[in-house]
Amino acid sequence: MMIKLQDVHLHFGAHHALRGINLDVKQGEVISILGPSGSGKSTLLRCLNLLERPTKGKIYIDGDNILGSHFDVTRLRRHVGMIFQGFNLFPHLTVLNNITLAPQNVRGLQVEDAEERAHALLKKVGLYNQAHKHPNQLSGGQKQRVAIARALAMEPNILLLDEPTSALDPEMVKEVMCVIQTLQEDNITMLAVSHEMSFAKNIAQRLLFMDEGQIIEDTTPNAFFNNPQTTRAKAFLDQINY
Amino acid sequence: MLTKNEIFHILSGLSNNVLVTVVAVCLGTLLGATICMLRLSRIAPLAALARVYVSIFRGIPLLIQLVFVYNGAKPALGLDLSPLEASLLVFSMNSAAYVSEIFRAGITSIDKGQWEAADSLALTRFQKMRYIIVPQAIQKVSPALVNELINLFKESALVSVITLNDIMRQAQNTVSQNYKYFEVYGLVALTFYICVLTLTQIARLLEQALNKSHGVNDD
Repeated sequence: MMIKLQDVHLHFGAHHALRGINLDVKQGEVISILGPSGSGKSTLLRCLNLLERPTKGKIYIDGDNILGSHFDVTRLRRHVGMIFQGFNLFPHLTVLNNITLAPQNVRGLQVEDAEERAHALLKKVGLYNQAHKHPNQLSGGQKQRVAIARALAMEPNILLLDEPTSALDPEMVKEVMCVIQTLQEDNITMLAVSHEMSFAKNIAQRLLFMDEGQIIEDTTPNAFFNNPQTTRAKAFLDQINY
Repeated sequence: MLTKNEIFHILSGLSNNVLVTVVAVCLGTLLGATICMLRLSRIAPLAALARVYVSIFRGIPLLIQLVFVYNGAKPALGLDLSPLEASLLVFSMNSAAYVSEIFRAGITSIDKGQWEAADSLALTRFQKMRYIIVPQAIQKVSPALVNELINLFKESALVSVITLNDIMRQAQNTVSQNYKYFEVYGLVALTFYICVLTLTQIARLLEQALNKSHGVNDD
């Protein structure tokens, strides 16, 4: 078992954002998390690299209790990459340095090694000749592809995608989705919160449907879209006009 | 009109204004950065200490601080400060208070996403500050820092009160002999104005160069 959540709760003050999440994820699984806004999808994702800290429950990743009081958070984050809706590239650094910063400082790679790897990753995401630009010189789709390269440079076992295409113009969604699709080959465990149904339909093997802080359906994309079990999921699918 | 000697006598005081400003900016920036780090530290007593420091130096008029330290150091601490020493000390400490707040504003203004991206890449708190937050903060606050420099320069005329021979005190000496109030104080005013305009211009060029080299600061 790669990721294991046991009765995870999270309160933001009076707001009870996660209400008893239980989840097992195997290495290499690609999971799409759907649900209405405010259902706790992003919060759940952000608990997995401890950008949010659950108020109750247990999370094990590779057997480590990541909520333990002596657990080193940076050790966890070395292996868990994250892609954000707003890209969050570092605007004062070039594309190349955005990618090499963490490998050099966290993994201790030499400059040449980090740069060689960065160039290879830029090639992979189709941005080979953009290495010396600054983020503000790129389009939204290009920024998100750089962000993916930046996360991959840490060679993560787990990749968390928090609405990776929501801030993009429609014509740029495809280029980013294509890049994400290629990651399947790398046996990276992926969990994605996305309103982009093509991820759920074409890439994900498993689908979690969340509502009011709980996972109410845990199934395959096929089963979910063709035969949703809960009325809440049916209403959701009607609303997105699938 | 003023004689050449009178003009020279008055302007020679300017070196002390420049000295006080330059030293206060340098020490103030170093001390201010330190106070800012204390203020943002997770250790509550250190943060409180920094808050008290800033509150004191921003809450008391600079003129009062100068007079109090210059005259009070001897009876209180047995410390015999020269006018220059007292000026450098007070201006540096005062500047540190303002600079620390400028830095703090810069650091807290950095978008939450930058912190989270740095966190998600497993950077330590120190690495996050050094490589991500502080470089962006400095770029953001550089106009405010230049403003602080200009303010310090203008306020440096206060040191005349504790008998440091700056441009203002030289002017007062001169006017007490020739009674040419308009010409003497006019010269002082004009000198300050030209210096401030020059500084403003340099600052603008510097800022443009900085923006060019780093790309516009948005994402």
